[in-house]
Amino acid sequence: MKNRFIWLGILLIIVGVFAIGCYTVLMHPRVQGEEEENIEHTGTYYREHCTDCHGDYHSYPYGYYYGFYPDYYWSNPRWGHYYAYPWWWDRYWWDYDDDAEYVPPSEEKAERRRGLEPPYVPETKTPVPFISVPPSRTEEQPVQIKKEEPKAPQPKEPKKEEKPKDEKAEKRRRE
Amino acid sequence: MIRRLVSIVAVVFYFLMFSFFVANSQELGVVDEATAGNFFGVGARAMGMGGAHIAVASDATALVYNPAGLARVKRIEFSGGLTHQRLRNKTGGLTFVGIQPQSTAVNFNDGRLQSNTRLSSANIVLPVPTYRGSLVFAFGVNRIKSFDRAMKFTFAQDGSGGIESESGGLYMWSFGTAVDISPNVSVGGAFNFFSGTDNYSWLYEDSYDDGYLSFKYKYDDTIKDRYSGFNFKFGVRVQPNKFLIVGGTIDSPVTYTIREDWTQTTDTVFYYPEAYWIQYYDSDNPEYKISLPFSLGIGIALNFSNLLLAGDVHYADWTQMEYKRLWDMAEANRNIKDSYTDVLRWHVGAEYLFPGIGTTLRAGYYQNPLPYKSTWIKKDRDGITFGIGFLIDQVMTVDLAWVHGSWELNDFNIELAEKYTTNKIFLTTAYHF
Repeated sequence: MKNRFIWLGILLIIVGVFAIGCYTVLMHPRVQGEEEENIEHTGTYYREHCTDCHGDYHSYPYGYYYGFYPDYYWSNPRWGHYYAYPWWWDRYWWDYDDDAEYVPPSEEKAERRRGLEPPYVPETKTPVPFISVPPSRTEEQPVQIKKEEPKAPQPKEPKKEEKPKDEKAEKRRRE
Repeated sequence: MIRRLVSIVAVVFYFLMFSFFVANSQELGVVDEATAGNFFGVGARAMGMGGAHIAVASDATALVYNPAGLARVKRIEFSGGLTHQRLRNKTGGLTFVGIQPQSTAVNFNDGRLQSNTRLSSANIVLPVPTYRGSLVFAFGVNRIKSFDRAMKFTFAQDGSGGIESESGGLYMWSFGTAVDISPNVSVGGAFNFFSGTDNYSWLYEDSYDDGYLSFKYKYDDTIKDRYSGFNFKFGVRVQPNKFLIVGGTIDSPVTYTIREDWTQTTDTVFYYPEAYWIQYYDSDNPEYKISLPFSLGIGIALNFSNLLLAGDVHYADWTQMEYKRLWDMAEANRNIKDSYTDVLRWHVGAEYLFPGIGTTLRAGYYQNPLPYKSTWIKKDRDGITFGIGFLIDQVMTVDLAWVHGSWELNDFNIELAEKYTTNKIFLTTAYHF
């Protein structure tokens, strides 16, 4: 009987963690207005343009571990750029369409793919607020997708010196 | 003539009774349960640090040490390992304290060497893509207990003596998962299925010759136990800041089902003046259960730049062990209460990383007390460990550890001193992609 209570307790903890709610998020929460959105992966859709809603995206990108890494993770890229860097950030051979035209990574993506850096400080040296208001929203409005005139990203002229920062991707691209 | 016949009958009766007594003792096996307090170690990195890994584990070995540590894995990981153990047993006569002379009953410098190489682990870790936090699944098999052991002694007077030999181990098949429940707190759990075999043999040979009556006696006992069972391990890992990691684990009780095959043979040959041969043979294949108690563990790790210090404490109360469905169960369980005790096992270790060359050096120490309440224990089990790890081409790690352990027992019944030393090599490699 005692063992049954123990097992029941363990089961309740597990169910509680997964059912009631958890810090870990597997899927992006639905945002008001999404249902009406004509979902096309144009680069303007909020799931692909994280910084539209999340001003702190550079600090805490998709899959980022908020915790603490030892110093050597940052001082030595052999550790930091690999073991602190989730596998789903990599691009593998099955991601590639050989016939497709190469599109250089956007600035945000390139920033992310260069790996993690200790508390990110943008070039302005002003720390990004932890929760930021999307640029297309007024302060009173909840976070939602702007239905009209989705903000298209400004095409960037590929600069030679910006492109090859991610050597791994560059190498694969050449192959 | 009648006196001589009485002597023969008396000797035969003595050995038959002895055989019967030993047979029953082995059937109960209450004083030496192989799975109790049996820590072998898993993973070269962990064992290089003396097994102090509750707070540190952040790879596939977290399945064994602390499932919550799986949450720190960001790369798909395949890992495997093997172990090599050389166990050396030395026996001799007891040296008495005080004015009493050294016993000459048992030969000095006798003993036995046993070496085994085993595949010890194979694990897969799969982190699930997350938007925030961490969710990781893992599956693997690890050899968590080793039954490899040997002992030999010889009496100085007539060359009679015994050889005890044991081999096998217990494998733990695990399915584990871990999840972040806050930025710095992870919880994890693993369902474990245990399976393994323990092959035990005890050979005792004796002879007697007084010029009038002589005999040779051989007793052979073989036991094969097949273990199976399951339990659940729960773990938590907290990292309040960059320098400190704290972990805790709870191992639920595990009930092993033991399917046993045992055989016992006794050969006695008398020469009086013709040879008389008496043989005794018995065998059985009983099935019974034994439940092991809760086990609790706490670990702490301190991170100073490239230096990592770690310490673990494990607690288990072995008096709570309980036989089930065993013949003469009440006596067996009473003997457990009388013979066993609660044990605090502790581990400390350090790791220093040279980031530029992707190499780590490790050292550690652990004390793993025998779970018996016995005056026979002269020196408890402990081990000193050293290790080295290499990062190869970023995606692959190779770790090596050496563990040197020892313990000593004094058997006051036959004035036998037993000393055991083990040298274990752990080799683990992992590929991350």
